[in-house]
Amino acid sequence: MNTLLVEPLLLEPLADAPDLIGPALVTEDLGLIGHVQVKLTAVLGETELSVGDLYGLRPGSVLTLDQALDQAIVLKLDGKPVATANLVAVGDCFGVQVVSIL
Amino acid sequence: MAESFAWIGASRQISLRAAVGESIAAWWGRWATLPCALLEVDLDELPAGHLQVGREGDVAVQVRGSLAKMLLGLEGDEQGLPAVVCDQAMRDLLECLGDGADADPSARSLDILPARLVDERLGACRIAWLDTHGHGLAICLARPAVDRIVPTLARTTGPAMTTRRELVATRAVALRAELDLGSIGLGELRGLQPGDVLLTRAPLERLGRLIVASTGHALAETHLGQHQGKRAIQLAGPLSSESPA
Repeated sequence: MNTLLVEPLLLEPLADAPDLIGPALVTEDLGLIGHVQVKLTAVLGETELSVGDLYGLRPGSVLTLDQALDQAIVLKLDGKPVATANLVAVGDCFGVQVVSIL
Repeated sequence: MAESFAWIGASRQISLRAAVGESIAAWWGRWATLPCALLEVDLDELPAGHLQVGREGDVAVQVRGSLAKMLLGLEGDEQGLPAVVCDQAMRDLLECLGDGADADPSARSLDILPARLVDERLGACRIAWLDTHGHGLAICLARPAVDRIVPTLARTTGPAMTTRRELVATRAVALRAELDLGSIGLGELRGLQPGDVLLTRAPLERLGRLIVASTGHALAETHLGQHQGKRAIQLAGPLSSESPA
């Protein structure tokens, strides 16, 4: 019968070298991480209500926002504002036309 | 009359003193042959005396000297009829302060006052009197007895002066309308310039969300529209479980 010797794995403690020299091993190439998905959110506008009015909201209630129809919206990537844009329709889906990069 | 009420407010102190004082005066009228001559004293002036406690342990009466002397003006040991009268009077006193009294005097007797009848931090309080002959009486009340005699405002059933909703009704809350456009690859954002159009996979019928701006708490799903030249939303209903976070 063959026997296997099983022992605990001993790992050597590691630490950064005192002087990090040489070119970066990974270039800042977006292509490397282009497949990474981020959440895109459009901020359509804001409004202010009294607490009394808030409790009075029902399905069907209409709230007018503080932004004009032609005013650019703010785009957020994973919750962080990154650009302003116009909300457009592209086929059956929403699209955004960039106005400015923040 | 002196009392130790550090744990309750002034108005309740007054109510308690008045209520107990009335009970003592009525009790005195039922049992004493002498006019009432009790004087207020500081608690330190009333050394430990004979103790009797009610059935529930919420009320104790501490007597310094002779109860027979106080009530009836009799000198000497309490024996015979005076002893019976004093025993009945003591039971009546415990009863009228809201605690039952055991018929057996030895069952009512107490050597040391328990903390619940002494410690003000536990809600106990003590009211004491002395007569001109140096005989004295102290009433020790545990929190339940005090609450029975002068109920706290929290236990009254009157309407509140104003509701919490009325208090906050006029406060303003900022709300934000957002539309989730789905996920997009970082590669699609490469080299994005003003004027570029970014295609999303979010269908035009996608519902937006109404959010409390300060907390990020989502309130409802919304349809995007317009009203009087401005962007507007119409509430569709509560958030569905499929709503994006």
